[in-house]
Amino acid sequence: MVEWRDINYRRFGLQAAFWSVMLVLLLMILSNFVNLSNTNQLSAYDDDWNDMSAFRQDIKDMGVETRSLVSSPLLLADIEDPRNTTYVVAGVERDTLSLPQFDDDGFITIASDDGYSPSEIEAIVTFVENGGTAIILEDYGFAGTIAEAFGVRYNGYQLFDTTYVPELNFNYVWMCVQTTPCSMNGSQIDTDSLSTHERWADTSSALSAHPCAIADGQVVSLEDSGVCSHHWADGEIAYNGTYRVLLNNITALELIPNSDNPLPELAIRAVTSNEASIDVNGDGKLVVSAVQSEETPDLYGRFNLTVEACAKSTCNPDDGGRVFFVADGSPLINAIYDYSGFAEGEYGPTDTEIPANDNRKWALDIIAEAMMTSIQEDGLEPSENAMVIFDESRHPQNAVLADSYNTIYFLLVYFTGEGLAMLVLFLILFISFEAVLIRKKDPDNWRHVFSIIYYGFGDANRYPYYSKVEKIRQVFLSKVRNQNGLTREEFHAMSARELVALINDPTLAKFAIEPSKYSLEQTVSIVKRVKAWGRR
Amino acid sequence: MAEDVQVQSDVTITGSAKARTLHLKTLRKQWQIITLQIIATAALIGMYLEVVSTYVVGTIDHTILFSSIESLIGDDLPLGDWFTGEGRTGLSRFFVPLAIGLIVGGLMALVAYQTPKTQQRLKLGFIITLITLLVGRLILGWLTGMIFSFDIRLPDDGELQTLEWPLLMIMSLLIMFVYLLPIIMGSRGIWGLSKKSIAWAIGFTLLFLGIHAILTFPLIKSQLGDYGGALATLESQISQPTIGLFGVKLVTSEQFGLILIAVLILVFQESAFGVIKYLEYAFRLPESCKRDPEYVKQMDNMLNTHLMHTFGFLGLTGVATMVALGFHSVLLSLVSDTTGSQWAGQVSESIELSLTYGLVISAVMFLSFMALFRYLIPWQRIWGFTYSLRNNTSSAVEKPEKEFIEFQT
Amino acid sequence: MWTRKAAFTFTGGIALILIGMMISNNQMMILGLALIAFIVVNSWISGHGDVEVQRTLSADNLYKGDDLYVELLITNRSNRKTQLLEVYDNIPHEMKLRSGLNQMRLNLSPGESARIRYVLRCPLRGHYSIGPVSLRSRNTFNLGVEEMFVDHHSDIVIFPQIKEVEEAFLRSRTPKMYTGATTLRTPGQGSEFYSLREYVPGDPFKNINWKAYARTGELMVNEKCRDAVTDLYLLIDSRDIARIGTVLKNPLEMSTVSAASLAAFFLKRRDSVALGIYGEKLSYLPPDTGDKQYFKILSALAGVSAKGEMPLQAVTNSLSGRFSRGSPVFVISSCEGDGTVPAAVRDLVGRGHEVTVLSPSSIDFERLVSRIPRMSYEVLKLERQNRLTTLAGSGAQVIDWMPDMDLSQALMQVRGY
Repeated sequence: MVEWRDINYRRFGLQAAFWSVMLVLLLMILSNFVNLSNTNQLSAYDDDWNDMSAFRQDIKDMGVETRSLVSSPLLLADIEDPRNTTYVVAGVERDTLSLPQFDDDGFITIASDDGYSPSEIEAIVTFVENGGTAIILEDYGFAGTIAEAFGVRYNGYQLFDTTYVPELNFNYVWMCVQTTPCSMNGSQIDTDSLSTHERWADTSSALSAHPCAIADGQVVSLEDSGVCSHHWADGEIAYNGTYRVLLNNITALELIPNSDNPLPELAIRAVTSNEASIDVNGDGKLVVSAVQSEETPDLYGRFNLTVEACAKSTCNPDDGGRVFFVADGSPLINAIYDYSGFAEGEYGPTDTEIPANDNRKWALDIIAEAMMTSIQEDGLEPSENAMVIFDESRHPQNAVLADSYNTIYFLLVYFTGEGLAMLVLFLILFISFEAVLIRKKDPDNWRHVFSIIYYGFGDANRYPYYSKVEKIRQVFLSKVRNQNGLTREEFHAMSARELVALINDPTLAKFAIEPSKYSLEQTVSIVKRVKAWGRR
Repeated sequence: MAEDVQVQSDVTITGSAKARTLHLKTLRKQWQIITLQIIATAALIGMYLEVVSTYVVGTIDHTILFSSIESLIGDDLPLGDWFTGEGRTGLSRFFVPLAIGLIVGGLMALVAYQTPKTQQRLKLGFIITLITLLVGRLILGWLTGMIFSFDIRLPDDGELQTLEWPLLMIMSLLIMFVYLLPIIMGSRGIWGLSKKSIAWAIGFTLLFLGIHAILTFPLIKSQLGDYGGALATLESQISQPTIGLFGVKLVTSEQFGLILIAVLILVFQESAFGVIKYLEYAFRLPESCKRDPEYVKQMDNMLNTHLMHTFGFLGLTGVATMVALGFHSVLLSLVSDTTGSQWAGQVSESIELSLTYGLVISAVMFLSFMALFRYLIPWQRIWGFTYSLRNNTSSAVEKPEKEFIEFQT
Repeated sequence: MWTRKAAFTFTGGIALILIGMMISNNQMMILGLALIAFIVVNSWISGHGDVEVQRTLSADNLYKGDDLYVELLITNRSNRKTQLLEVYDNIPHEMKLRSGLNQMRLNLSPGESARIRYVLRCPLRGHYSIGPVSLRSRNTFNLGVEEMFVDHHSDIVIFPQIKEVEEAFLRSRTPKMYTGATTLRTPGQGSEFYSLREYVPGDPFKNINWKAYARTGELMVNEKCRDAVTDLYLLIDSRDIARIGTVLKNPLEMSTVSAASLAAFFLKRRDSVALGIYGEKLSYLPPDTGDKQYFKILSALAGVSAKGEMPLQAVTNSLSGRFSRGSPVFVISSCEGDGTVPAAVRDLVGRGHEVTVLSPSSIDFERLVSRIPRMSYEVLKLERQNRLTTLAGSGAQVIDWMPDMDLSQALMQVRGY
């Protein structure tokens, strides 16, 4: 039983200190990554006026599975059926975590402030190349790099057009999805200037036309109307190819000439009026002239609002991937998309009245075209694997825990999906295996060892000294003295002759009295004689 | 005090009853050891069949290989169809080879118990049989042909034809050997007490799983073309769970198969190595200890505990893995119920969750909780309580004659 | 603490999970998760319950070369199983395991106990301690290991051997030095009546002279004569130089054996024996008789180790004043490296003591472990002989004790040079 007094306080304290330091470090790291914001918007999973829950609900009602992507588009590489998958990016509100990675040339880079890292862009491009559909709704945010990968550039400055909604303000601009610009007649769009979608409405080409356009006039029940249910009216499909899409706070799209584009077919689907202008210096004033200069920095003319990039000119989803670029992030927000619901206060009380628009029709048509099954018998049903993925990874969360969780997701996906990080991870795993191999030792097996360590050596240095002639002589003389019971003094007082007589051995006497050189053999024989001497 | 000390009991055994000892001969026949070996064998077979049915049958199994070789050479291979399982469908293709693999492994284990001299003789006999099988007919035919015609010549085509059958035979046997390697090595290791063989069986299985995983990695699989298409691929996206505990659906049947493989590998490893560990310990004891009933009793205790823990802990491991894999749904419903936030909805629909990432995070979280349980729940007391309930032994604890000795660590 | 296996399982599990995620492979991930779950589940059982350990020895002291029987009783005092527990009794390296094993792997049920019995041979004299008892608990699958020890020690004294020396004294050619027990006319422990005195509290009842009590009405006790010839003084040289030789054959070892044997012999004859051991310092056991003194002497001899370089003269200077007159003195020393020996011996002889120098031939011990050149050996031997001759010349009995010679044999050699 553990007694309280037995607890090792020192150890306890050290542990506590260690873990608290680790916690502080972790919090510091998280605080760098976690980007809390209360202005979370454009999320398909929230139902504020500026979120996109209505759009998601419509897709679900269509029978299409919706998914979110909370970590990183790197995961698009793992999608099994890209053909029937649509990837929606609506408003990129935050940058990617700047972690090192490989760029196209194989060099290590740190992602720049462009929302998506090179490897994420590559994953998106691969996804599209494999037949996926992507919708990029963005204005001044971080989606620039995705667009550039497809030869399109977001201008990034606010665009003003004459086709704005005067009841609201000049930020609300009409976009007519057609080749020619539309114009205003008072507060309404001039119906004479309205036309139809260049590709979708052209039923003469079955491959490029919208499936709902082809099914126009087909008599079906609402249940069987499938992906074209939003066109269903009075027992039949009633397709209308006119799209008046209301945008808010827009910018312009430019085509990059001579770009190495994975999807070669770029088609401009919507443009501004000829009198649009862009506030390049962002001072709120529009100063324009024929040539852009320091005095007249702003731009004037007709700009692109929607660009469709496809693998083939038919833009048929069966022929390869497609990307839709729109110069605004907000056409699908609940307030505009579900204007009637908004007016009824479903998304919070409001005084603003959003005019009726075709945003819903337009958005659902994109989804319908991408998701409809290519199996004839299934009619207008979405394909079995149909899935719409909302990129939520670039929307800040309003709770620390949620954002931390997403960050962990991101780190996991980054470390298991990005080349450089995978390399680093492999290295770490390898090192930890090595460390375990080298550092981790099991306690040795117990075994009794009988061992006696004993040092019983004498001083070996004295041995040569004892074979010296002088020493031998001294020992011999002591023996003589001892044998005869003489004291030291008596012995020293003796004359040489007396000593010789006492020794009584000529060889030894000579040895005792006359110091001279002796060879080894001689010394040996002398020692033998000395040993024998005195034994009578 | 001095007279209290007795010599080891082996010295005083005088009775006619033969006491049990820890000699390998007797220990090997002890029921716990045999049971452990049987468990290990069953786990080995289960693991093999599960791996085979998940990855091999119908895609890259030996019958497909044999039939493609047969169509290549335009002839039947010498191994009978009853042996290879050709013509049967599904897992039944593996039943006969499996039995043969077990027998071969058992024979190899038997050989391992012979003296080195006998072993050498057996090996030599095997090699000579192999050589005779391979070139015997050729040499016999060729030599007699030369003798009858009194002329030295190279073997003619007809004689060389005799090589075909043995070559094909050995090739088929080799193919079977590779397919059955885990079974042969595993059973040899279990019954022949060879750590190396067990490591081979596990290593080969893991290697197979690893190579298969790499080959089915989409990037590589697409490079393999038609061959890649033949490999059975596990879905990387997870569907709705169907198997669970107490009515809570936790994992899909596919995941369950994979968990089963993992747990069976562990069962096989722990019981096979466990047997060897205990026998090694007994072997190293000095003679007097082997006869000492105290040592015999403690060996029994250890073996019984090992048996119980094999069932208890390895079963719990499987359950814990299952719960860990299904934990994300619990976690998400918890979060959405408590917060109802945008995040919960978004995470519950997230692609990461269906692509294992979310699964892993929640599984690791669950396992961390479990690890913390060690500190939160007084396991020692619970164990103690259950023991005392079961054995009612608290009264059996005698009053200590000497004062207690405190531990120092 | 995690074992290597656990560490590998853990890193392997993590690696499999991560790699499984990298290549989107469920099998690897699940295998990894199973490995981690295996560790987690197994970590629930750790350590062991309270275990009581009790060691019993067959003897607290014994003679060099004897066998010691040890029994270790391990009892599980808790209500849970101990789980796999390795018990190891730490025994001194100088002891040899003769039979049995000083360790056991066990798994005790509540209340169960196990006995470890083993036999030790003790080839070296000295004070030893058996213990502590080390415990190592593992879980069944060897994933966690914890080590601790029970601080339970058993002390044991290994005495030097006792050799029979009686015969040597009987057959010695020398004039009988010691004539055996005669009564000294001083009171003490003995057999003959000395006088009658008044009872003092503390006197044993058996000494009370009841007749005298009846006669005088006062408690009177018999006082006995002290039986002893004389006091025998043993001086043992335990200087550093006495260690030369092998572990079992060196001057110090021979000295302890001879001192123990002589003490045994004389104490048996009811003489008083005193013991002086000098080396690093001088330790002196005043003369006394009886078993208690015997035990004291053996204990002192058991603990002797070769250290220091105190000269004999320093010993005699400090002790000779306390020596009773005319009593025999045994100096047991190799006489090597100590120039004061002749003077000290002469001094003792001069004081009327019968001095016997028992001198283990250290140069011959040295020869057992070192290669001494033949000539150096002969000269060293000559020098030693000179030294012994000098001692003999001073009036001491000198015994040159060779390594392979029995004590009694050596004692019979007593001769004057």
